[in-house]
Amino acid sequence: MKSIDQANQEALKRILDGDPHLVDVVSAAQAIPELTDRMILHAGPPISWERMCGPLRGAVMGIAVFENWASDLDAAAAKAAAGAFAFAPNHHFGAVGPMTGMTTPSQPLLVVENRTFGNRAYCAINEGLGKVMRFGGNDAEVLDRLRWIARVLGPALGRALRAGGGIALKPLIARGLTMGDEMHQRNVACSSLLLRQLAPALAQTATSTEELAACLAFIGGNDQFFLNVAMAMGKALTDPARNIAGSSVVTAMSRNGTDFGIRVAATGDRWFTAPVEMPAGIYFPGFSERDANPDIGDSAIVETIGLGGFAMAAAPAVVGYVGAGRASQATAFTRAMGEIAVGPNPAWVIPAMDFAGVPTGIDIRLVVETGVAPTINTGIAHREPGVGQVGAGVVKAPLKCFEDALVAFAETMGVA
Amino acid sequence: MDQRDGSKSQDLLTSSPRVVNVGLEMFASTLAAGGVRVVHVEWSPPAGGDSRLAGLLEKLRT
Repeated sequence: MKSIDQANQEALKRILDGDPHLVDVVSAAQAIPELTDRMILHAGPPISWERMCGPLRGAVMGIAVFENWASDLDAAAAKAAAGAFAFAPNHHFGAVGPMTGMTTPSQPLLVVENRTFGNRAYCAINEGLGKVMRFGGNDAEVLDRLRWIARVLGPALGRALRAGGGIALKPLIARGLTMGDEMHQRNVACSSLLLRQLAPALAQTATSTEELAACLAFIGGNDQFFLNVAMAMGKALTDPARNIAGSSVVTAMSRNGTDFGIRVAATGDRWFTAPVEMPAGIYFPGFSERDANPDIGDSAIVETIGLGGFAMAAAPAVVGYVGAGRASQATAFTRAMGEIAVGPNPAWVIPAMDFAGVPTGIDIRLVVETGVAPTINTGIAHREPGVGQVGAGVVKAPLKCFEDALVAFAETMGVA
Repeated sequence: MDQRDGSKSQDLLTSSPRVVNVGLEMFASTLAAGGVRVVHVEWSPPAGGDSRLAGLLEKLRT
C-alpha cells in the first residue's frame, strides 16, 4: 500500500505533468450538456437562494434577465425565491467562474484542454473591471456587455483559437511570472502575451475590421482578461488529481460569498465547508470595509496550483494593490505557502527567489499542523446586489475546512 | 563545577543577554524595544494545541 507521502507525490506529479492549452470558446450549452434550461451554475460549494449573499443574488437576477428567463430584475428575484431556477456549483461540471461565477447556457466559455490527461475545463470570459456581473453588477450596461461577449467576442475568439490550433499555457504562465504577474490580482503581462499570440489569428478570422478592432480594444483594455484563462487552466490541471486514494492534497478551494469549501484528492468530490472570511484590503474611493461582501469566487483555483497568493513574490506590485504590506514582504507570503505545499513547480519559477518554483499541492496535514492557512489574493465585491467591485485584498482560507477534511481523510485511512 | 564552567556562569551574569524567543512574539518585541538582542522563532503547538487533531496528525505522518 502506498504511503500518504507517496500518494501526495503522485498528486503533485499529475498537477505538474499537465499540459494545458487554450483551445476554443464554445457556448456553455455545448460545453456542458447537463446544463439545462433555467439552470444556473455559481461559484463555490452548493448554496440555496435563501443563503446567497447580495452580489450572488444580484448576479443571479441579472443572468436570469440575460437568458430571458425573467422580464426584469424584480421578476427574476421573485422567480428565484419561488424555486424557478436550479442552482449548482461550477465545480460539479468541470467549470469555474470568478467571484459570483455565473454560468448559464447562452454564455460563451473558454475551453482549456489538458493534453496529458485528455480532460477539459471551462470558464466564462472576463468582463473587465468595475460594475460587472462577476461582482454582482446587473444593470443594462452589464447585460449589454454580456450580450456583446456572447454575440461577437466569444465567437471571434473561438474562430481564432481553432484556426491557430490552441495556445500552450504553461510557457505563457512561466513568462508571466518573470514579468510581475501572480495570475490572480495581476494579469497584465499574461493578458498582453495572450493577445500577442491571438492577434494574428483574430485578424485572419475576423468577419469585419470593426469586429476585429472592437475585440482587440476589449482585450487590450482589460488587465485581468487572462484571469479567467488561468482559472480554467487551474481546473484542468487539478481535476486529474481527484480521487487519488491516500492523498491529502487539496484539489479545489472555492467560495460562494457565504461558505468557503475545499475538496481533497482522497475524499473525491466531497466539500468541506466553513463560514467564509472577510478580505483585508484596499478600497476604491468612496468605499470602505462597511461596504464589503465576504470572500467569493472559484478563482482560488489559481492558489490551488501555486499561483495567486502563493506566487506573491513574483508580483511585488500586487502587494500594494491588495494592501498586503510592503513590496519587500512579498517573498514572505510565498515562503509561508511553501510550508504547507508538497513541493515546488520547476516549470514556474520566481526570479526574486533565486528562481525557486512556486509552492504547489496544498497538504491538509501541513495546514492543520502549522496553522498556516492558504493566502488568497482577491477582488472585493459590494455586499449589496448590483453595485460591483469596491476593492481588492487578501483573505485566509478558514482552518476549519482543513480540520474537518483531516478528520474525514483519517477515516479513509482507517485512522480514528 | 570545574573552573571553566564557573567562568561561563560568571559570563552569563556579567555580559549582555542574548535571547532566543520561541512562541509568543510579544516577549521578543518587548525585549527588542528595551535594546536586548533577540532572535524570534515562530512556533505554535501542532494543530494549535488541539489534542485530537494532533493525535490524528501523528498517525497520518507518512
